Amino acid sequence: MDAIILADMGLLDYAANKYPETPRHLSVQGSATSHEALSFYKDNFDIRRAVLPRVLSIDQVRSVAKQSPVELEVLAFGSLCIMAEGRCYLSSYLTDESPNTRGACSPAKAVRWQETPQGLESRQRSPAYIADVARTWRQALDRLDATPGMFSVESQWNNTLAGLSEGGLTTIGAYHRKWK
Amino acid sequence: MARDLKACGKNVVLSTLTLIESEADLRRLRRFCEQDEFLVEANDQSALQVAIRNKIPFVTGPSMNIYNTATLKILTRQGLQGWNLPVELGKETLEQLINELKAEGLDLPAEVFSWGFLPLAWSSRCFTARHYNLPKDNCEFRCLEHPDGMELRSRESQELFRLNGISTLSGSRCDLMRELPDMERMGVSTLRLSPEHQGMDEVVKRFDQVRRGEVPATDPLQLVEAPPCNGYWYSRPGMDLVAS
Repeated sequence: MDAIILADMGLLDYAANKYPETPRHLSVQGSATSHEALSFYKDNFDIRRAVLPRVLSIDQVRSVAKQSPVELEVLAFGSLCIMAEGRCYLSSYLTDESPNTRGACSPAKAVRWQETPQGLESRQRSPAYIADVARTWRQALDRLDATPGMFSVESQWNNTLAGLSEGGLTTIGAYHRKWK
Repeated sequence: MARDLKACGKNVVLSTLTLIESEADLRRLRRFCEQDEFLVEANDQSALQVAIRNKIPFVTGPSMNIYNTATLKILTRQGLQGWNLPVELGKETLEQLINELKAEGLDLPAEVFSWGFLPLAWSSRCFTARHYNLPKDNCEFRCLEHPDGMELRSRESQELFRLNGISTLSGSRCDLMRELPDMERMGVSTLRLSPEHQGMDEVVKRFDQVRRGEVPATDPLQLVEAPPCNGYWYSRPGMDLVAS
């Protein structure tokens, strides 16, 4: 095991004390949106890396990164949520199960499923989906490494990823803040 | 305003932002934590960090993720004076946490959100500005026209949520007046009554009467407009109303 991703302060404390050699990464559910918050987790639980919540724009990410005491990870592909992660109770308000209490958001038991000609949209992702996404991103990152400063996105990458997105729609969400 | 209230004998607590997004937000936060006139309520880990660094006492608000005694112990060692139960937790968890704290010899005042629209989620987007098709940073403060938020109904016309700026509140109004005897028995020290545009004096008065035993907790306040809910207290969906 390379690292363990955790959000809860009690669990982070337990992991830091019981298994200090296992690197700890702060989950996106840890809601750390500033370098001060990242320092709290670093000082208290000696985290190595943190996943930033998706509410930050790219400029805000840049500003946090400048003063961050730990490595940073950002979410680059997948379904988007517009709420700040880790402190959202919409799911438990409607169903009694939430990410914090049960690790579930809008649990399947509470969804009214409809069979459509296209079949059912699966909440879990298949190995094939993960393979396609990882392969495409690997190609893009390798290209960035090989030709820094001359990077451009190939239409074939966009086509592959668009084909994996619900309704073929993609957005860069809060990273791009023209709505600001 | 805080000083005026303090002069009237009120215990004032300064509450920090839930979603810290910029250096400007951090500057405001540091100002809060560079005074010792008022207690500070930390609502995210940035606030914890600054309060701890400045060695000032603090309490935590309802959006701070506290789901176990281990978390409370970590914070108590560093200046925590009291805490709020996260809104999505209820009687069973609170009782367990209070008992575990007692077993460890810790007496930490607990506060419970007992009246008002529950704060459920925060976004970096401002829904009010979006509704008026205005940019967030030039919003003309249109939210002033909606002091209790904008109602959001489902396709089945159920009042699901209230949108207020960047926060999403419950569509039903949390009312734990009948649960007050429960809370007194468990040793809850403070009730949080979230202010509303109108009728708030009546709400405070009624909670006070119930607290003093002047009226039974089963004699509810007849404020209308939003359906009541207490589901979280009974480990049910938050929007449910459990008859007691």
